[in-house]
Amino acid sequence: PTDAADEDRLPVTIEARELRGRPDLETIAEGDVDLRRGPTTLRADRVEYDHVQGIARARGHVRVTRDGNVFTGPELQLQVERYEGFFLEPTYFFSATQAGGRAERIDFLGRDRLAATQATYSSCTPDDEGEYAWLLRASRVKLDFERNEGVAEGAVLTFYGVPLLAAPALSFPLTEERKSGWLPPNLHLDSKSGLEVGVPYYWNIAPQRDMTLTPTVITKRGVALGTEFRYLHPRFRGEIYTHVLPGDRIAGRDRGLLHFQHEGRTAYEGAYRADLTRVSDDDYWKDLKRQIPSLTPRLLPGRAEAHWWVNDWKVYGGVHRWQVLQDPLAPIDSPYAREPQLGMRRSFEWDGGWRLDMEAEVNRFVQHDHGPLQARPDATRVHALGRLAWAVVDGPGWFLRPQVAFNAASYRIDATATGAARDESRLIPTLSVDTGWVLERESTWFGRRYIQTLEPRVLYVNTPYRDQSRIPLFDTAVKDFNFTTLFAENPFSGVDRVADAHHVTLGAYTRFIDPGSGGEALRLGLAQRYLLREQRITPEGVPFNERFSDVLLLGSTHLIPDWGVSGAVQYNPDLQRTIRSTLGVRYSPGPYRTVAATYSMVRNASERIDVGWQWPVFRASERERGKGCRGSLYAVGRVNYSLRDQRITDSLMGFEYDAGCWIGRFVVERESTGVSEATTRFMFQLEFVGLSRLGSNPLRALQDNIPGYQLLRGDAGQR
Amino acid sequence: CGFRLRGAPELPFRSIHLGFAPRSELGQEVRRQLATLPGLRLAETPQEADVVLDVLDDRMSRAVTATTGAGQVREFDVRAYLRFRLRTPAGRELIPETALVQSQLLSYNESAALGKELEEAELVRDLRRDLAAQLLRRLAAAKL
Amino acid sequence: ERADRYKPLNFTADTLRYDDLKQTNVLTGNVVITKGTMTVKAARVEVHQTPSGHQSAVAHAGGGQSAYFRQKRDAVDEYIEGEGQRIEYDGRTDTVRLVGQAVVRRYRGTTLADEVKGQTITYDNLAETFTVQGGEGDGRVRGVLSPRDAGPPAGAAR
Repeated sequence: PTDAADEDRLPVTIEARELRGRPDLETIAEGDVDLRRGPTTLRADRVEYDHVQGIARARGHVRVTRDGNVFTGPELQLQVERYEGFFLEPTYFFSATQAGGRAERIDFLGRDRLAATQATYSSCTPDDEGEYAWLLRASRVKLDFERNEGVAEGAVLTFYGVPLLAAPALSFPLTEERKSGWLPPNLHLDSKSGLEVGVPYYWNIAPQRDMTLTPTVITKRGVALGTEFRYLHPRFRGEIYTHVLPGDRIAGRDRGLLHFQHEGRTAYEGAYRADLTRVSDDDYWKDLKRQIPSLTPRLLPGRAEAHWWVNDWKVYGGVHRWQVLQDPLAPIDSPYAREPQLGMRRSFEWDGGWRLDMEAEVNRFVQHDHGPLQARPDATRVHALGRLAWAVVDGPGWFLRPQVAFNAASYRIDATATGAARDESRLIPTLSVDTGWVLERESTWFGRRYIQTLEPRVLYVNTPYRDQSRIPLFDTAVKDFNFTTLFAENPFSGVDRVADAHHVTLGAYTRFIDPGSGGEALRLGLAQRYLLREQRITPEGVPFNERFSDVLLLGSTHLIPDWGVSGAVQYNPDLQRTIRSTLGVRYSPGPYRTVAATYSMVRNASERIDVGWQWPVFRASERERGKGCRGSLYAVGRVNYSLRDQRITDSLMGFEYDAGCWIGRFVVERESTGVSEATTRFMFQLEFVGLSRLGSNPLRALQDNIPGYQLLRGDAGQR
Repeated sequence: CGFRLRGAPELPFRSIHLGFAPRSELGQEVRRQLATLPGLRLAETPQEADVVLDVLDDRMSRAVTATTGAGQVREFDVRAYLRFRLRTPAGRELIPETALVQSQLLSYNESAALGKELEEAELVRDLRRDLAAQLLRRLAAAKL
Repeated sequence: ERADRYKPLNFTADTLRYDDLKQTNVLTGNVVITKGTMTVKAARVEVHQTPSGHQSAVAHAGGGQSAYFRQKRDAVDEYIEGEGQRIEYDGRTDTVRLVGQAVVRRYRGTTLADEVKGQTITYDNLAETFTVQGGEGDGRVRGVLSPRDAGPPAGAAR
């Protein structure tokens, strides 16, 4: 909008049935008067404008609009230059928050400030009986458009007539900008903690810094305080979250959590990151899991890392240290800490398809939580990885890529209770040849034309046997058995184990491609490994002397619009039994409408069915939204049913009701926290659209646990 | 049975501007696969290119799909996303907004955190190689 | 200006004839009448001398050219200008009435300050008041008033 000074010099256009007056003294307009100046429009039955005092008086169906904000009422008087005056029995509507109300009187106190007495404020439209779903009533409301702040004094917030919150002063934003003030309460009910009521106060310290303090009453445990401090600068950003619960009545001790996250950029295309979560005790995840931001509630990360690009050398370093929440019933061998990790990586490419990748690293592995197992030694490891690949042919129809690689590492292993300090080192070369073709043909299925591809692939790997039994596992783990790992040289991740190998992996994909869009309608894949020699170092730890590995078959299709079916089967030809299989069906005709069911079986380990859904139970049409009870109700949830234990291990069922001017979320989460122990959590949260643009969605659990879940209103956190 | 070696797809454009963020892993994989196509130039700026690839979403996500009774995670659903649109520099839409996603289940164990982290990175690289190949097929099918 | 009342009235026109029945002079063909700071231009003008010695005139538009009137305001460097299908000037009450697509503009020096349009506009020179009645069609009056003490409207060349 034009700024104030210019606005004063803008001409006023008047339209009416009749115009009378004395030039420069007074002008009177009558009959559907329409008066405009810049962005402001005034309509009324009669308007008198006294040029000398600069006072405009409007009477009868007065309606003022400006930047989408609308004021109406029977009578208005306004001193135009000083923007002072009054509006009798006005109603008002703010476009930014799509909310408004009515008042006994509004006093204009300057260009950007006004005060209303006996005012109401709501984003709902009244239903037939004139009832508002939620309504903020206040004896006095001061609106400051410059600071985008509305302050309601003697405010009472009612929800369907039930007073929910009475506050001496309640502030609300007039635009989307963040604004300090109390936010509506978060309510949670938890079978272990009881009713939890938190009323967050948002403090907009500065454009790039804000803090949210949430005093919370937890009926069974005590009073807690959550503080979230966020900062955002051009070159770095981060947040510090603490949750303190002094004197937890059930646990009989103080409980606390600290979460610190920071990321920044430096010169040399550098970036650094810190991500630390620490809690006060080992049972924290059982009682206050909702506070833990990490996806693995019992393994809390603590890492600081940085990297720079120095003319194509990636130089990096970091410290990773975990906090493991031990549970005697289900112990965890805590992973090693890297204190520190320093390394550099470089890739070279030459004409003719040559490519050399190199990596060199120093790691100090330290074990902080020896746990029940015998002592696991600390160690310092220096390693170098090299890979020279030559893409003899790299065309769209055929590729051939022989490759030589080496994994060299030397360890200085500290003494332990059962062993003296010792040095180990080894260098393990690997030769591999990877080749594949892409063949195509036209083919028609169910009457539709497709391009069918046949993509055979062959990987030959030859790695000599090197005894690594005296080398502990620091950053190595057994990889899953899937297409990616079948066509990789080493079945172990990390550096500490390189399996001996002399085998050929054969695989083939066939895909059906829609020629019109190039989209893939169906894919089927088959792969198996043929061993030319017994493999002595194996993921299972026992030498493998079969000729054939398990067979892997997988497929996925979107042949039927909105439907997706995918599956994978790992079959052992010797045992003639399926080792592992998953089958997933997904129906997703549109946003917020997804149902997915997955069956997965791992022989002698687990067999379970997961169902996840987000589906509108009923949807009010756009027109009806906000009127009384006609909103849209969405059902959200996920259920894990273990076929072996014949019980539901985890379930999360939620309902999100979007009534247009308010959103209600109700979620029941039942999570087993022990073989027979489980926590049931009820969470409900009310968000009044227009009152708190910052309605935080405490149900991050939905996002973390339902693949493909979509928040109803964008990212509620940073709206 | 009618199969023949796939020839280089003739793309309906001579030069393209890729809207990937610098150092994006998916961006580098798409550049590597495009490099195998003869006669295609990667334009530095949108203006000088025949077509512009707008990258609307290029991220990976991880959701817990299996836990033990004792709060241990046993499986993640790892996903790689690509949402893109192809248009001329003037803004005429050649391929409407399209969302591609590849997912893979990854078993997990807290004790193997370091190793699983490295395996996940390798897995995401493979999922992105697949997304890049799908993107190439769709670019080849674009109508100018 | 008020002083115009005592100024001589002179005129030019293609033809002049005297209609003794109505005792009015009828001038036709790009008529121009001046009286002090007031000037009137029209296709046809009838000037009538009332028995009480007051003059009144009715100017008619014609030939695609509306009747036009202009006068300086009293003791202020401002000019009032008006157009319409018909302009009636009543010497006795010193009021000007513009009828039919009437437009009145007020200039401060040479810059346009206000402009009003309507079906009939009456401007009372003595009381210095104006009244604008609804135009034909939607019966609406339209006006553009610029702020009193401001310089040229914001939109003008800055």
